[in-house]
Amino acid sequence: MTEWVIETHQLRKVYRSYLRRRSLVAVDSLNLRVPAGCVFGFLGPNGAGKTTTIMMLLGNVYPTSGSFRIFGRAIHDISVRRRIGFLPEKFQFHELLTAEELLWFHGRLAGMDRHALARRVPEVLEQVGLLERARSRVREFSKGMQQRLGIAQAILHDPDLIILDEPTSALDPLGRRDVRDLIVRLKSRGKTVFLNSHLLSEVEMVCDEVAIMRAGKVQRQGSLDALLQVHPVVDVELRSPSEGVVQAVREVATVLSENGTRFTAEVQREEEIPLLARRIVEAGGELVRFVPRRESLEDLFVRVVEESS
Amino acid sequence: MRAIWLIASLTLKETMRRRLWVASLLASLAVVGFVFVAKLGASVRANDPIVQSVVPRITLILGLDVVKFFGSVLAMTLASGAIALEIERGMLYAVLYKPIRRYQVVLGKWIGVLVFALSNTLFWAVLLHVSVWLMMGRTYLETWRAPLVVLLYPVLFGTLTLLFSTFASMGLTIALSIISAGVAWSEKPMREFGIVFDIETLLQVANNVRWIIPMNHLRRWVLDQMLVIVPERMLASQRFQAFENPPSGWEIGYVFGYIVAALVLAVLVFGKRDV
Repeated sequence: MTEWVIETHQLRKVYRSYLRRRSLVAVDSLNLRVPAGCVFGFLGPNGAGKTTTIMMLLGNVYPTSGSFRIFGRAIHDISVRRRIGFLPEKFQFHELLTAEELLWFHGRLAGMDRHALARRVPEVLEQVGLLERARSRVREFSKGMQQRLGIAQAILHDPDLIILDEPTSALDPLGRRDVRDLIVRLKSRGKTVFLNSHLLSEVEMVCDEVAIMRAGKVQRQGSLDALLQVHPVVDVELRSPSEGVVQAVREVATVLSENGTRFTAEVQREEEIPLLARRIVEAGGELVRFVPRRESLEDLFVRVVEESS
Repeated sequence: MRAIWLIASLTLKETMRRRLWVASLLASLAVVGFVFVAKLGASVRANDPIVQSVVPRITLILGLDVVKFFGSVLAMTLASGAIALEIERGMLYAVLYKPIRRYQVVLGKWIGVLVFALSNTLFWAVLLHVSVWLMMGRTYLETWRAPLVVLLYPVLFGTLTLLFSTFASMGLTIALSIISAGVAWSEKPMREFGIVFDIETLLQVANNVRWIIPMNHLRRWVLDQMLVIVPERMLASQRFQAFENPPSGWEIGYVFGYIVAALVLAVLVFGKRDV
């Protein structure tokens, strides 16, 4: 039986402005289930309600209605909080502390004893590539280094659930790769990672399951493989497309996008891909490029968001 | 309990590293400078025994007003950013999800802010006494209780500002704390004007203000501790007798109750709000 790390039931958050007599539904009837040991991608356009959801899950924001459980218990249960690590999206650390002092502070707050911290602090600093800057003050750190320190803070007490809100937004490509590797390592150790990121290519590389939110509601949720197993897509480039060629393509495929000599077509089954190529050639088309591919997460994301608009 | 001390010590450490001790040093210079200016004034009539007897005592009484002011401003400055600023900058997001309770954050901040503000206020009060002794050759050890009562000023205003900080933005917190201090300080002139010009409404407002922000009770309590050195002429004046009667036990209890209530309210408000 699947163990659910996060379960929400009809979770709803409405922000009310009593002065302006307005209300904003940030999260609406959210039903989410995150299985244990997976990397869960939590996606959505800006203002979809992702951060509000995360803040509710952490107990920072109170839901207007609905309920949720983390590890089968309420978030106010201290034993549940011990098992959570969190990297906020917009954060600033106490900048006059050194990296080492900051981690000691957060570790002590998380309930770690001195012996465990003496061992663990250098370990996590090394994992995020900041060991040599352990004695530097946080205010001397770049945004990217602060983000690395934030990740160190989130994994310091070896939590079972790690919630990362835009963990790579300030990182360079090498830093992003390091974070990806870290997420994979966490997963291999049986940890659950709840990842909110706009970098869909990264999410696609590491996530097992995703949920796509829009306007406070989950529009799609499921395993990445299942969600992306839709119709195959082919990127085509022709030397000089004629009306006849285009007509031939439309007979066997749906044209998703068209840009001069290039277009992207969707077929119903993989077996239809050779048929599409044959039809183009038979209609007199001169192929420059013909690349079949699986629908990317970005394609899915755009499609879902557009469908729900 | 550990979380409270961790947050308190972090608040204190941050305060020290922000070099607020520089402001403390400047305030110390102001206290010493105040006594020095008074001594210069008294030296003009060095042969007048009345002046030489009255000036050190007035210097000490007014000097404590300076210390009260600096202590209150320091506590308000520290408390205004304690929670509001940390929410605005996102510092608390990485703290609040930890296995701690929100009341521990409020209490930790309260202790951290007050330890710094009270130690400075006490230092300035001692510095004032030492300066009077060194520059004017007088000691008034019999008034030793007065500086202890003065410590309640930063406690009162620091706690009130921390309460504002739990629900308002940093800017609004500063505005609210300045307004509350202004309201409290206006009570005495309002009462004086009310009596001098016989304006009943003004007296009623002043009466209400002393309960809204109970600084007046504290002021009279401090003066009560200084009574042994208040010059006889001042004691005998009608205005002094009209305004400066010592606070009753009930009024002193009200001050303590007010501080506790403000702190409890801060805990409740912060516990219920979205962060």
